[in-house]
Parts: sequence; structure tokens; C-alpha cells
Amino acid sequence: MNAGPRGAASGTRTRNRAGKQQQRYHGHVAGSVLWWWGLALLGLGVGGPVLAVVWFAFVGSLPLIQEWPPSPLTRWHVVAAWRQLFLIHPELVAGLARTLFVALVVAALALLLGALAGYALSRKPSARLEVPLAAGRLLPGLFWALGLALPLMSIGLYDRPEGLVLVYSAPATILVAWVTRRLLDDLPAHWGESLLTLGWSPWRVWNAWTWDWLRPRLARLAVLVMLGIWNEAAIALILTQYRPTLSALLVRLTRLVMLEAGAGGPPGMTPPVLIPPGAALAQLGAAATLLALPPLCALLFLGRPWLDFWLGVKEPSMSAAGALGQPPAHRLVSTTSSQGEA
Amino acid sequence: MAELQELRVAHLSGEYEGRRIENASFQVPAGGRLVLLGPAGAGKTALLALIAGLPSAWGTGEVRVGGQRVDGRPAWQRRIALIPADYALWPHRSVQEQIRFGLARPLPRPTGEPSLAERSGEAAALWQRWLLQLDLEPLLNRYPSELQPDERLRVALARAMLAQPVALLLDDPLARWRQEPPRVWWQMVDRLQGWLASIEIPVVIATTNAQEAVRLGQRILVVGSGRGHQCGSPQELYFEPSSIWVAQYLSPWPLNVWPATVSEELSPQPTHLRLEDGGWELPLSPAGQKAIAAWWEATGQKQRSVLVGLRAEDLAVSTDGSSAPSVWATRVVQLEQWGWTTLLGVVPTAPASPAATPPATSPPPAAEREGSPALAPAPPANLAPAAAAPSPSTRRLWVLTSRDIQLLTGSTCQITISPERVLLFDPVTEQRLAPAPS
Repeated sequence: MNAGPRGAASGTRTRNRAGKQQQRYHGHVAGSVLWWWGLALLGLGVGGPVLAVVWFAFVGSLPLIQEWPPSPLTRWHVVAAWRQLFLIHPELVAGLARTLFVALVVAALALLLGALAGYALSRKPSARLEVPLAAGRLLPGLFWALGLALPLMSIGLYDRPEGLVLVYSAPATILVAWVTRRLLDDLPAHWGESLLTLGWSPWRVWNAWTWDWLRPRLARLAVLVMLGIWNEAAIALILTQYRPTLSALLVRLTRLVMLEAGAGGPPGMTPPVLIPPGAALAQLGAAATLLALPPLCALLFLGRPWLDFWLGVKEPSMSAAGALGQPPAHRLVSTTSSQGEA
Repeated sequence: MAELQELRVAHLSGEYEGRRIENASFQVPAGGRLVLLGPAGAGKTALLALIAGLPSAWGTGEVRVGGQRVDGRPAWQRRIALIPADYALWPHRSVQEQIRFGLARPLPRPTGEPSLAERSGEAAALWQRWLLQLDLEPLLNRYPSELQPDERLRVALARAMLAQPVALLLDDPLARWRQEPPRVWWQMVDRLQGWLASIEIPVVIATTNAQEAVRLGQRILVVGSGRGHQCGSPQELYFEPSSIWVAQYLSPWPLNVWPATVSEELSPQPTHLRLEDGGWELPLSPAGQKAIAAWWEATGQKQRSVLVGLRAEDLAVSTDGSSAPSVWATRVVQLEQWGWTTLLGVVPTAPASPAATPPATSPPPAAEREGSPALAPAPPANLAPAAAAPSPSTRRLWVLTSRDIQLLTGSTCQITISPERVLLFDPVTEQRLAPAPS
């Protein structure tokens, strides 16, 4: 049969195609498995703790309805733990306000100073300034706290929000400067200059293009700074005594609860605040949810660009392919096919 | 419509991003195209930045548009649009927004021109014209990351032209295409030629590629090491290069540069020169004779060392065995068949002077055969190499010849060149020896 070689060739092609399909299938399956596995890990890592604290807060709330405080709480039984938390610790409200104040002021200061420094560094790089920048990012926060606690004491700013603002501003400004510089590295200086040649003044080019591009990214950076201050406890513990931030307050509350639960401690020593039995874990759960609320809201509601920015994911338009003028893969395919048709 | 004016640059020197340019001068008429040709780092971008008046470029010299000096003005008042090599398309703006930016130039225009309101009809016409001409209508809602490289160039071009500049500067617009297959690059040069043909203002284009320069420019300024070497049409630069560097940069084939002497011993008048390697003699063209005679007169010396530039494509090859004094007997030591042409590397077979006598007679050394094609057989008996073998110091002469010529490695051939095609250079400055003005 003269179809032999042709048939053989076609058989080889078929086998090759089948092999490729099989490879693609296996790749797809492997990808799916990895995807589900990753999702499960993320669920456990993020969802697990969230569910745990919420569960303890809710379940711990239930016995409180009968025991303490009495009847008016019936309509609020689901959030009894949170309510009780504020009833027992009215300073939590002050702590919350203090934390918000510190976070906002630090974010504003760091943004102003850091963005200016970052802009200057990106347009006139200096190797000497790289070292302080790197040190600012590498040195532990405790170092800043310890290094600044004594001077703050000497000028009367210890245990005051203003002192915290000063301490937090130093690393936050460095962080903002660092990120701003990296952001502006994606916008070469000659881009703006070339727009000047089209007849726009430097201010208008800056406002219409550079600032327009930078603004949303700086906003994301500011929120990141605020969340960092909201979450931070170690420095706040050292630098506050009677005016703690929310996180420092919660650390102290945790210590009290642990004492009440009998977790260690010298014999004969009693906790300074008496908490009704059974409420301890519920209050801790409630406190933890309070602390996790802003970051969780940011995660859930702020959207992909914000998360990409915080995670350091390069935007597609600023990727190496974009910068080099390489079209995305799908554009290449469509162009090739249209050229073929032409 | 902005009036059409010429761009004139005189003695422009300065620095931009660490690159210097010294004393550049040229003139581009309205609708004319000048290409700055030179290697990377030669100072082309610096020159463009100085002309456009970018804030980070600083320097001295004159930039005139239509006779009016603009070098004292900032970039946004010069109206000389610059498109950088990466086109500067901002990633967060769509094509439409990028182009509109060019159109909506807010600054007042010089006195005598229509106001922005009066220009609304003109702006709409411009918008339509360039959108149509550059076929940008389907791309208006895309972002730079979604564009093909040629589309990005079109967007940058439209943005610049909608700003109605008085001159347009393009910094290596086709750099990205030189990594592509030659066919794609060639087509892109074609397209750019088409776009530029409809631009009525002076256009200055920087490039590193000589072919691009010849195809895009009516005139070329060769730039190297931070200074303008020579400015002229492609033909002028090719036939009358000012220096060895210019001649080498413009030619796609190797330029043979050989030391030679014109002395009274050879002839009482400077009519001939003798190449130091090979001892070949070569008649001088009338222009060459004038140049040497002027030097003899000026210095009182009757001997002049020169460098002779012989283009590979100007040398003629024959195999008829003729033996006139200006015909050089050579042996092929390297043969590269490119398909459409053949490149030969030849060395002299017989000395024309005692000074250049080869040391011994032997077959070509193995090292010389390495470059020859693997399938090239040993030369047949009737084409056996002449007895002379080149000394290690003997230069190889590169000759470009017809693809039909029947030669093998080791075979002999004769080389001739028209005296008019011989280029003479000063051995110290490497500048072309020009005849004294009459």
C-alpha cells in the first residue's frame, strides 16, 4: 500500500499530538492540584486564625448572658464579649483614638518627607544615601524604640502620642522614601522632559503625568504605613505606660487573661483585675478581632491593585516586557493571525 | 498651521546624561531630514537634547528656528518636539489621552498666531489627519502595554505632531527593530519613510545604523566621540569622506587601509604612490596629485607618507593574467561566498620592489586556510598558487567581487582600481588629504 509511509507519518503526528495533549492534561491537573493546595494553605493560614478568634468571641459571649452583666444584654448577646471588653476596659476607646491619631499623623509625615526624599533620590541617585536607606529597612523596630526612648524621656515626650509619632516617623519615612524611589525608577526622568518639548510647563507635566501616576501608589503606600502602625505592638509597649495604643493595651490584656487563667506566675500572686470566669477567652477573641479588623477590611475590600502593590507585584504596564515595547502574548497571536489573513 | 521654518544649529557644545557633544553645526530646511549617524555613546542624544533644550542638558551654541534664536528659551517654549528612543509613552494613560496631550498645548503661542479658540477647527483637522495617516483610530482605547512596538512609535509620532512643533527630533526610533529579522526592519524603515515624507517641518533623526541613515536622511551628519565629523548627502559622504573613520563607518564592507609613500624616487612629479606592503604601485588621480604637490611645495620635502583607503567594492578582479604596472598580482587566501556576492581576502604573489620580497616559497600556511570554506578543495594544477607566500606582517586586501567569478582559495588573480576611487589620508590625523584650493 502506498499509504504506508504517509500513514506512518500521520501516526507519528497523531502520537505527538496525543502526547502533547497528555502533557497539557497532566500540566493542567498538576496546576489545579497546586492551586487547590495553595488555596487550602492560605485558608488555613489566614482564615483559620480569623475563624478561631471570632468563634471564641461568640461562644464565650453566650455564658455571659446569664452570668454578667445581667438582663439588658439579651439583645446584644452575640456581641457580648466585645461590649464587655469596652465596659471593663474603657481605656480601649482612648487607645483606639490614640492609635488612629498616631497612624494618621505618621502616615502624613512619612508621606510628605519620604516622597520628597524618594523623588530627590530617584532623580539624583546618591550611593552614600543608600546605606541609611538600607539600614532603615534592616534595623529592627525595637532598635528605633530603644534608641529614641531615652531622648523622648528627656524632652518630656515619653508615654505621649507625639513621642510615638516621632519614633514611628523615622522608619516610616525611610520606607516611603525607598518605595517612592523604586516607583519613580519606572518613570525615567527623560519621559517628563520629552513632554516639555510638546509645550507644557514643568509644573503642568508634573501635575498631569508624574503626580497623576504617583498619587494612587502613594495612597496605597500611606495605607500600608497606617496598617503597619496599627499592627505594631513592640515599640508601643516600650514607649507607652499610661497612654498605650490599642495593640499595647491588648498585649497587656492578654497578660492579665493569662494570669487569670493561671498560666504561670508565682504562687500566692493574684491578678490585679478580676475577670468573671469564662469571659477570658471571649474577651481575648474580641480583642483580637478588633485588632485584625482594619487589615482584614483592607484585604477584602481594597481590590487587586492595592494587594499587588503591597505584595510588590509589578504592574503589567511597567513590567520588563512593557518597558521594552514587547506586546503581550495574546496580542502577538492576534497580530500574527491577522497578518496571515492579509 | 504653523509656518514652515528651517532649523539651524551652530557651534553647539554641551553635555547631557554624561555624554558630550562638541561644536556641532548643521542646517535642516523645512521638510528636510537630517540624520545624526554615529555609534552608541557618540553624543547624538546629547545633541538632540541640547537642540530641544531639555532641562538636564546644558551647553553653549546657537539654535535658530526660522532665523530666530531659541537657545535661550526653555524646552516648553522652543516648540522643538523630541521623541526619545523609548517613545516615553506613560503607562497609565490610554492612547487617546497620550495623543490629546500633544494637542492640548496650553501655553500661549507666539504673537501673530491664532489663539486656542481659533485653533479649534484646526485642531480637529489635525486630529483627523494624523489619526487617519497613522491609522490610530482602532488603538485609541488601548494602553501602551497593549501596543505593538510600531504602534507605540505611531502614537509617539502623533502626539508630537499634534503639538504642532516647528521641528521634530527622533532619537533612534528604529533601535528596537534592529533586533528583528532584516525583512521586518526593512519594512519598518519603509513605513517610517512614508510617515516622515508627509511632515513639512525640519526633522532630525539619530541612528547608529548607516543603512537606516541613508534611507531616512537627505543629509547625514556623522557623529563620533562627541563631535560632528562630516555633514553631507549620502553620496558626498561615501565618495568624499573626510576621514578614515567616516569612510569605515559608512561602508558596509571593509575599507582596506594601507600605508603608502609618494616620493620623488618613484616619479619626479607626484603621479604615483607605492604601497608599503606588497610594494604595489598605484597611479594617483589629478585631485590626489594636487594634494600631494601642495604638500611638497608647502614643506619642501619630496616624500610624503600617506594612508591609502581602498574600498572592497571598488577593487576589480580579473583572472586573465594581465601584467600592467597598475595591475596587482595576488593570491586568494580567503574566500567567503555570500550567495549574492563573494568576498575575497588576497595577498600579493610577487613583490614589485625589493623591499617587499617575500621570505620563502611555500604553500599557504594552515592558519590562512582555516578561514576558507570547508568544502573548498585544494587548488587544481592550472590554478596552482604562485610561489610567493605572504609574510606574517603582510596585510590582507579585501575585495568584493561578482558571485559568478570562478576562484578558489590559493588561486591567483589580478586586482585593479580606478585612481579616482583611491582615498588618501594623513597618517597622523587620519583626515582625508584634500587638494589645495585653487
